Amino acid sequence: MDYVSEQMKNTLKHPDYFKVSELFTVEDLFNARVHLGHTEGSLDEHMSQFVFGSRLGYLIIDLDQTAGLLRDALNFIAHIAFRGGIILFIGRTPQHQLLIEDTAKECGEYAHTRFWQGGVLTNSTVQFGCVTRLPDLIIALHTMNNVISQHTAIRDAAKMLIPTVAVVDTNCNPNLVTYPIPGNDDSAASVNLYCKLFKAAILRGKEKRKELLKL
Amino acid sequence: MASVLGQFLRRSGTLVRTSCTTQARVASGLLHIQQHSSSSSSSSSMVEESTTPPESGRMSKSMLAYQQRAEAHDKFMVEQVAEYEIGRRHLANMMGEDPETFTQEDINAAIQYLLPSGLFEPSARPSMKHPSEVFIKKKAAEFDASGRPFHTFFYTGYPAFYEALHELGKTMISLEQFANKMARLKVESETSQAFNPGGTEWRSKGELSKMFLEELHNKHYVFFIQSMNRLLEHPYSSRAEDFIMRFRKVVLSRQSKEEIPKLLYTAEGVPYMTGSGKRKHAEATVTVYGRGSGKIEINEQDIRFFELIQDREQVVFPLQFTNLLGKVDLVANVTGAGLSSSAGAIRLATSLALQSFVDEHMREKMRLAGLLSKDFRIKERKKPGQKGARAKFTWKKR
Repeated sequence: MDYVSEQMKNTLKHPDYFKVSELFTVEDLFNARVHLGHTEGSLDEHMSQFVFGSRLGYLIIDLDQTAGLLRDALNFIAHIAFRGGIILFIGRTPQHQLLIEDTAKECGEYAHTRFWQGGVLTNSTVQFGCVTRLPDLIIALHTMNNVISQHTAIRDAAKMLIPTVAVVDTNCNPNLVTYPIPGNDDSAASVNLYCKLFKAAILRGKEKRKELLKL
Repeated sequence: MASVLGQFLRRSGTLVRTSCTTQARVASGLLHIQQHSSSSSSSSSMVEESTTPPESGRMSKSMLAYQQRAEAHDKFMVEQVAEYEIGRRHLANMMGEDPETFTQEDINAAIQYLLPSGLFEPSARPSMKHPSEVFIKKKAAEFDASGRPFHTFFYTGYPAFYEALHELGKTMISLEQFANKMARLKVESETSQAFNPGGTEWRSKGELSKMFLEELHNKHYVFFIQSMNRLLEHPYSSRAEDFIMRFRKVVLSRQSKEEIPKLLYTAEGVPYMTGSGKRKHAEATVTVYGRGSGKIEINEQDIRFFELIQDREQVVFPLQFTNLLGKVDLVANVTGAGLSSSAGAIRLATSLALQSFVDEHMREKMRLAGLLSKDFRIKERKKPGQKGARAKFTWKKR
């Protein structure tokens, strides 16, 4: 028990223990079209801090900020995975549903890309019929259900003190998200890149868990 | 005999009573009927105090309790099955049969013989079923001791159902890739590669719920069937037959079950067939002779037996439909009052006789045209307090 807690403390001393900064470069983000935002009219006021500028009416996201925030998010994800936390992937776009579910399967975590029942986080005992362990981290590939409404999980996770990592586009509200990642959430290339990075971070964390904590 | 039976049933009944179900008991003339109960009420009564100290947090205590409950339920089921087996062997001995080869059907017959019931509802009558059929099948523990669920889609609430949808999506994608590959290589098959849905139909919502062990809603079922139908429409869907057949059940058509009688031959070698039909209170027997010239005989009279054109058309319609109008002879005998109903009876009898003369394709067409179905409509009875079957007495406002 002492050995385990000591190992956990050791990992926190290093700013990037799992070397997640090696997983991507700004050029990778650019090639995956992460910088492409929506039109100026749909800009959420809280996202204007992340916007680099606009071109022909379409907003460009500042990839330097994105890179830094993405590194923080990946580091956090790796730490959660290292400590054996339950990670839940969410997203409500049909185009990327299967990809998100496959990503979760491949790294041994959980996915919920279907209709969100109200009491999943806030009323889990009644919802699942027994006492359930809630996710320790929620990773959202899309924070919006459609153009107008935000995914209930973002608000409910904040209520239940569950940290969230979310990809926020220019029309999303990043307020309730613990680790926002400003970036394009509509292109297949960018969603593919995010899934690849999240999976890599989780697997790194789990690898270290097996190696150091022997669990 | 009755005392021995009573003794046996009382013995096997005592243990079962604790789990809120009672096997049939005969005690001083009183009959207790077996009830189905939800196992949740029984399993909740078996929650035990956690003996091992919790490792970390209050989570593991409830996890352990949940696991213990699942283990207790399993143990309970093992006990029930053992009791059932003993009961089955006793019953076999009572009936003088071999206990080794005493099946569930034999048990049902024995119970029916020993404990005859005049009750209408089948589920209210005494029965002895296998415990797995009495106690609702529950899902095994869905997470391990640390609380991590086993299934990736656990948090959706319907993991098995969404797993099936996930697999459906993957199947669609692989079929699309295959189709693109075939198009690139310019490979075109002569026969259709689409799945043939003939002879099978989609499983019902209840059957799917039982399969997944999840209570599906109508919207789930509708969406599932719509998605599966889209998969069926794909030109290469036969490649996904194994996946599709998991959710389809074979339906035998009644037509194939019924045997069409073979043609009979007279002494001269003329093929003929007899058919009988009824309509209201008219009964008709019709003999259709092949190699004929279109003669029609009804009760030793011409077609003019029927004065109304409508009745004549009814008689002739089956021949017209099967294109045998001038090719066969008809000899009909009809009894019972009413000209219109006689015509209907002759029509049915003729159609049934003609089945032996035509091929399967035409037979199916006849079935779809309604020629082979008996018209069950009869005169509706008059009700007291009314003038007729539907007509009411004159209504007076005051």
